[in-house]
Amino acid sequence: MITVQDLYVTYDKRTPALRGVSLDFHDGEFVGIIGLSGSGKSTLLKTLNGLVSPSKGKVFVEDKDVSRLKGKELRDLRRGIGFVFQEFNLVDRSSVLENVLIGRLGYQSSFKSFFGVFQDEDYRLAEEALETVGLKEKTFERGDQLSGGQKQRVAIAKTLAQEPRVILADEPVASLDRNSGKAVMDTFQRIQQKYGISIIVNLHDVDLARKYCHRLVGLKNGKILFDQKTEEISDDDITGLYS
Amino acid sequence: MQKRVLGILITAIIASTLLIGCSNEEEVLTMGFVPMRDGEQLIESLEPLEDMISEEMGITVEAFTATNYVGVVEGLGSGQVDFGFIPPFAYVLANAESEARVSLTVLNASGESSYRSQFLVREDSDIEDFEDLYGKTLAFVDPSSTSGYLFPGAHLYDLGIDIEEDITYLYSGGHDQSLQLLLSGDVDAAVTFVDVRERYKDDFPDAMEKTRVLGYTMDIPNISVTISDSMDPETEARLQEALIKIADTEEGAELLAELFNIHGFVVAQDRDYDIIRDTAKTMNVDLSNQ
Amino acid sequence: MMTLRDYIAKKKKKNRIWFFGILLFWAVTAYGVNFDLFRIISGLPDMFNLLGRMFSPEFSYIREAMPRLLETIEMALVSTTLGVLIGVLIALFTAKNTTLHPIIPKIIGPLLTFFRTIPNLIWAAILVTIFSVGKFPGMIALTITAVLITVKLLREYIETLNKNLLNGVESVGGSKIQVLRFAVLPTIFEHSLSVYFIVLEINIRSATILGLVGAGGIGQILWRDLNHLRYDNLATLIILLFLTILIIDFISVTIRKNLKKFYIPRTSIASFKLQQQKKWGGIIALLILGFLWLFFSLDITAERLIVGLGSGRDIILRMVQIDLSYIPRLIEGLLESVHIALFATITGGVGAVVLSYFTAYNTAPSPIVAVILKGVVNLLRTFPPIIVAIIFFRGVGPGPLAGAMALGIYTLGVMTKLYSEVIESAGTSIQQGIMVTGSTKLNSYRYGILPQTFPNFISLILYRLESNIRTSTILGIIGAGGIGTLLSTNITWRNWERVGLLILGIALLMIAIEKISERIRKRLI
Repeated sequence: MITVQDLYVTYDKRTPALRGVSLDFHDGEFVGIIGLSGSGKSTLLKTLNGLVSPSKGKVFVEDKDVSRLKGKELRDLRRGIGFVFQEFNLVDRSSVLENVLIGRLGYQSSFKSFFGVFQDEDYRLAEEALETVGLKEKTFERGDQLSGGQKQRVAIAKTLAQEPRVILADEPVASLDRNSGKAVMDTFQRIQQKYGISIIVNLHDVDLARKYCHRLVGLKNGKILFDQKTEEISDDDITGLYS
Repeated sequence: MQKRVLGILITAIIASTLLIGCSNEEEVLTMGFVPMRDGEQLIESLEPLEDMISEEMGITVEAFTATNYVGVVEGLGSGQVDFGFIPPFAYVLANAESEARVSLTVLNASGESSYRSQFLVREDSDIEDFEDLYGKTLAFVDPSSTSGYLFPGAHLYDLGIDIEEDITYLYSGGHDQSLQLLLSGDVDAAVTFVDVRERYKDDFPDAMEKTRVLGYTMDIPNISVTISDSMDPETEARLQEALIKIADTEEGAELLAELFNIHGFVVAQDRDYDIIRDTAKTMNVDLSNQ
Repeated sequence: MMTLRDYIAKKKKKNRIWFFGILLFWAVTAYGVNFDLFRIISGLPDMFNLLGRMFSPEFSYIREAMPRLLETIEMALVSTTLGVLIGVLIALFTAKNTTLHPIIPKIIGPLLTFFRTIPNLIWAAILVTIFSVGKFPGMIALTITAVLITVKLLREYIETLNKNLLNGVESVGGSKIQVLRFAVLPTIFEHSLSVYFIVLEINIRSATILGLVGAGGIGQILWRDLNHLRYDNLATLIILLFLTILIIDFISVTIRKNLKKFYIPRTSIASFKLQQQKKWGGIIALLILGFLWLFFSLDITAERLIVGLGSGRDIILRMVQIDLSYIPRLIEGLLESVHIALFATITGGVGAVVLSYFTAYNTAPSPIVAVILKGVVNLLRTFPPIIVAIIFFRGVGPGPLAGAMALGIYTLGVMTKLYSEVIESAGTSIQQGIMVTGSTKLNSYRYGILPQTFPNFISLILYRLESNIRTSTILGIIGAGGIGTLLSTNITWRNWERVGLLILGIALLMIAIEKISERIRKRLI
């Protein structure tokens, strides 16, 4: 459903982040992208939903060229793609419920949502999403009263409220301790199994990646080093990636 | 080594800063000029007057302008300002505060040492007499204005109209603003100098036709030349003499008239200003506690 | 490779250059304002004489002053509420990172700076022409200042927000408006609240200036008493203003401290929905109430408004035809104003760094010292600069020195208050980090808090410089030099073409200062 063709991204006209990346993502996959920091993982993920524009090459999401989309079309595309950030990116001063409702914004008119008017359906979906990530009892607390792991699960609930086909996660556990990280990865796994939503996740922790992902893509200096099923990856591949 | 250089430099900078101004020990007279707002034109530069007085007296005179008199009155009180051209009410305040003396009164274009202010109403107004002002709205200029507040206010009191009880009033901030308020219908009457309509005819070309004069106040002494108590009588006499002499020369008279709307000086006595004190008293301005 | 020795030498050199640079700069401005310590010292007795006359406040006067004070508070409250609400909206749409289109800040930014430079006196002169005298034009003038200050303070804050926060909403397919509403607005809420109180205080103080043009309130009687040299009454008014500002400060601190307590967790979706409706209903009601209040304080007819708009247009049309022959006087005046403002800003700023150490609770030698100094500092900034200028005028005579000293003292008060608050909020952990090494409080200030909060200090001081230039325009009316003397005389004489040129000159200067301070800030932060 997502096709990446010969993608180049250069920041500030000088520093290259991606140098000719081509690959496909399919429905219902759980893909891990691994590599050192600075290898281009984050950039790759952000080009998939148009947060970063490529300097060369193309990204197709369901046959639509992402770099050509603008305004309403781009927003419609993003609505169908969940994005989870390393730093959660919650609005700390809003309640958990409000944060999850943000996931419904792609379905609202700007005017109505400005006054915080949501439909009953939106509330139902938000509640359901919070239940899925196991945080229903925190619905009315303020964002800044949660722990890091809880915040990340709220962020996942937010993307679930979008009713996405795919969730992109950029280092979702890098700022968390081991146990919280595990809880977050478990949540992803549950979502992938229950709803069939594909998950594409950047990780620098290889053990976690091997444990949860079905397919691993290794990035090094903006190029793909390997792209294989998890069980086919050898220790040498990994060593090569981190050397 | 470096530390010492540093220390010397700092001392040098600070010392040179502190010593600025200490070098000129020669006597300088400081003159403040608070223009009456009924002047024909804006006094742009005091330099010509400075030069004339300096030359005549043989003492350097440095002059400055202020639109409000409070600073000058305080300066006269402390001796920081040696003499000033200030409005009559400002003189009375300065005298009450610090024994500052009036030396001269300025003569206006008609050769008088006093002027009056006028009550204006609209041409089509039903106000024919001061009696008709009861219950009406009146624009004063501001509470510091002799011609725009004190005298007209006292005038009304003398006619039996209590401005606090019998009329509504407001301060417009300027003689021109008062005229404007009257023309726009915000107030029923306005007090201004004579004649604001002539002075601002470019701004309000129809003012002459659209308004008429209801009446005039008593005579108000003109702008005064007030001397600080710290000036010695001998210098004061020289200054008095110099100013009168300047106004007598053809060249000086022309310059004074053209640039400052001054048409001569007469020697003034403190008692000439008793009328201001009485007026201030009527207007409930307390001059005693300064 | 840089050795440690090189590093130390370089660092020392840098500190020395800084120190010298500031000192030299100060010396130049001191020369520009004819600074003369001997003159100030020898003028002290005269200054104390005037201060002494102020030390006998007339308390029976409170009965007359109270209704006027309430009128001022009413004006300030209405105009601040309206101004901040409008200002928040404009700030959202003109911050570089949240604007709908990158061209908007480029156009609106300089335009707002231009409007901000127009002194209150000019606003009032135009507004009085249009709307007649009274509360209404005063409130409009205050609302305009409130909008402009809010936009300035908030826009800078919004521009420092993390890009991630905005991405969080953009990545779900939210529109730019939705980003503003759901990510930015909740985040800036607390900051907006403190901006509200800052603006409220500024407006109460500005109301004293508006008394000059018949806008009513406490300014009117303050101006009258000053002109009648009734310093006893003046002292009473200053005490009233002082108390008002203290109360505002207290309310502001209390609300901000307890903001989290005000957050009421809901228990069901239904009650959450109801709360949302109430919240927005409340904000809209507040806006409508503000406009209605404004509207009802306007007691003129439609015909009068049309006449007024006509004369207002005439004035503005004449201001646009700037009188270029006046440029030499303009430059002369601006130069003096710059000297006054720079001298005041540097003197007050350096003084504030020292005084803040004794005023902030966490660095002061004892809490009692801090409390006493906080009182002094509040008193310093309540004294209207024009009155302080008159005191100095009495001591040192005419010229720029009196204005420069008055502004310097005002700057010292404002900067100490703001900076000591920065120290209090940022200090403790850094301070502890240094104190555990066995160092003194003073050293923890010098090597920990000061470097850490220096960027904040620079931001504050640069903003102060801008307001000092604006305030110095008012001081001109008593003969304290600078562009203000020219401005006030030309307004009195209705030389609008010259007023236009003066405003343009001030605006260009301010825009230049803003550009330079942006550079400095970027380099330091």
